[in-house]
Amino acid sequence: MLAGKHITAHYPGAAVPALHDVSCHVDRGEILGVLGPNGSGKSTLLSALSGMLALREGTALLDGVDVTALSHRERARRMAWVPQRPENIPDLTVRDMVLMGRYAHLPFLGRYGAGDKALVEAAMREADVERLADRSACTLSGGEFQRALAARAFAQCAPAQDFSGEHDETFFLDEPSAGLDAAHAVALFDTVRQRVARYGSRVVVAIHDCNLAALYCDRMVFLQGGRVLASGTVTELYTESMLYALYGARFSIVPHPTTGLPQALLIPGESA
Amino acid sequence: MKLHSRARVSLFWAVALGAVCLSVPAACLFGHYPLEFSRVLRLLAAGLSGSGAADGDTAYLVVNGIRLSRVCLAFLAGAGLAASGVVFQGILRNPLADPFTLGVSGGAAFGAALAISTGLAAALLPVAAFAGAATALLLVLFLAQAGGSLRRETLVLAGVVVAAFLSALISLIKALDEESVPGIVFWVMGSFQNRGWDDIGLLLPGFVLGLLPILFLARELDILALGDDEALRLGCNAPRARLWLLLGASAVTASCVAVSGVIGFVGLIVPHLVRLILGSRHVPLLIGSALVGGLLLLWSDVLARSLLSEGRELPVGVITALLGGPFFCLLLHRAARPQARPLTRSSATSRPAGQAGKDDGATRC
Repeated sequence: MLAGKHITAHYPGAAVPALHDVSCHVDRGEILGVLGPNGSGKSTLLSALSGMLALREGTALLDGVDVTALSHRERARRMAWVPQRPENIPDLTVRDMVLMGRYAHLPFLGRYGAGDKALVEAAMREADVERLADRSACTLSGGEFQRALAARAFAQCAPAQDFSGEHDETFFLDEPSAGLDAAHAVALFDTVRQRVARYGSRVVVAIHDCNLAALYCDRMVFLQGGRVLASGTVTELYTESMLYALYGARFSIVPHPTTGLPQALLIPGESA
Repeated sequence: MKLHSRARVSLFWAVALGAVCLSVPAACLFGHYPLEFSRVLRLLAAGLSGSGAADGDTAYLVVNGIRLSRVCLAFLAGAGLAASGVVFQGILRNPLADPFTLGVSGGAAFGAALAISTGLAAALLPVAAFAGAATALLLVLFLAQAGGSLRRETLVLAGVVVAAFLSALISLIKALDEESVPGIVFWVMGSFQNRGWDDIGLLLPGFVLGLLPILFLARELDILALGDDEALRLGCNAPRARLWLLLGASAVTASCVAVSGVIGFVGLIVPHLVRLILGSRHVPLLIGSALVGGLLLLWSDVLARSLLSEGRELPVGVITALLGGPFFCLLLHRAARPQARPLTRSSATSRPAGQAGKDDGATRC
């Protein structure tokens, strides 16, 4: 289990904490959605849980061990990111980019071996980017690039041996569907869902699209101004009053016609 | 961006390696003492086997004693400057970074200028240049660290500030001590005039020591180019790797500048050019840039010593700047040309406002 306990975190020089007394947890085989308006601390919570951020108070524990106590490499072998599109995309092939996911598994001064390369091919197959393997990463569309990053994350957490059983792996997805068209967004989440079902991965996803989140997240944390507004399952949280409290916008909640999960429809002309 | 076809990459390596093998003897042809190519080859072979050192053989001395040492020195300096340029551009993620952006070259020139004006022995000049380069680097690192952790923006700013300050100090020395002006100009413009095997001995220790971390951490360069956050998420200790690479590249630069003076544009242009052909992977990029940088400086030096008549020489830095300036304009023009970038638009519009600041940089390929 990955658990955040009473996390309070500041960005350097900031007076107001970006996160204030935030607790949450994600179990094996579970997708945790982090929702909230802009600047509510979603990405910061992902950074805190993955040990990228020094915490003022509280801890993030991965199976009972403080994540900031892990070495860089150990942390990277167990927790991988699908980040927002980086500012500088190097002119590398997709295969080379995915191969970088194996960096944390290399011995000192070691080289990427045949095992790493096989895992990279498997990860590209899983994320459906095999046919892009020889394309330069900077020529990919938004959806293709996001899936290539997913492949990199899959390769990053894949154990070198015993590929079949459960993996001790946690993925952090930071706004993975931002800027993606509907088909790419659904394809990306389907890929992640499959991975979770197959290997019992933990997933924490910061996401704006509350309807996409309702379809894929097992549980959710609502953040507002760096504090937890509410947490629970989708059916518990998706009420008109709760979503109004979170976003300050009026929604009408209807069940999804095929899955029955709640979907939130905006009501026009009702902004405060 | 075009794909880097295997054929194009293979062609690059064939041409670069072939050019290096041909250029070393060919560059030994140029100079006062007229020699034909076959004779140069024979003399070089004799030098390699150590057999033909007949007493008073002027041709042998000219080729193996004077010209070959200068050719090797120019090649090594060019290779070192270009490789350092690759490292600086990679770790600072700044396409304008090169050995000079960090004030390393300015420091070396200042050390030399100070030594000239105080009348230090000529043999100690490279040592003074090296000391100046090291001091400038330490100053830049100190300034950049002062604001917290080592950040790429502050590092470049600190480099620019230190370089400007050192350049003013050099002007001050020139104004106060007019006799030293010709000697200082030599350092500021860069030249291989009267350099020989002794200077290669001065160059090599720092050069080799500096290359070690660069070779060992070439793979980390690929990861650092993605940015610090990404590097950390992939399990790379970014600050530590960057510091080692910075020290290595600076040692290489300082060694080169200590024997050649300040030579601009090699470290800036060559990595850009080679990246267009080989892509962004740093291991081939480093080796390719070193070969091309060596060739560029080798032939620039041939031009510098053969353009003017009666044995007068141009500073080689003038040649590289004259070649590099227009070439860089071409690169800029190429980079400014609108390209199909389907993502720049979508990622810019879809980003939540609260996070716009952290990765709103332009997409570069």
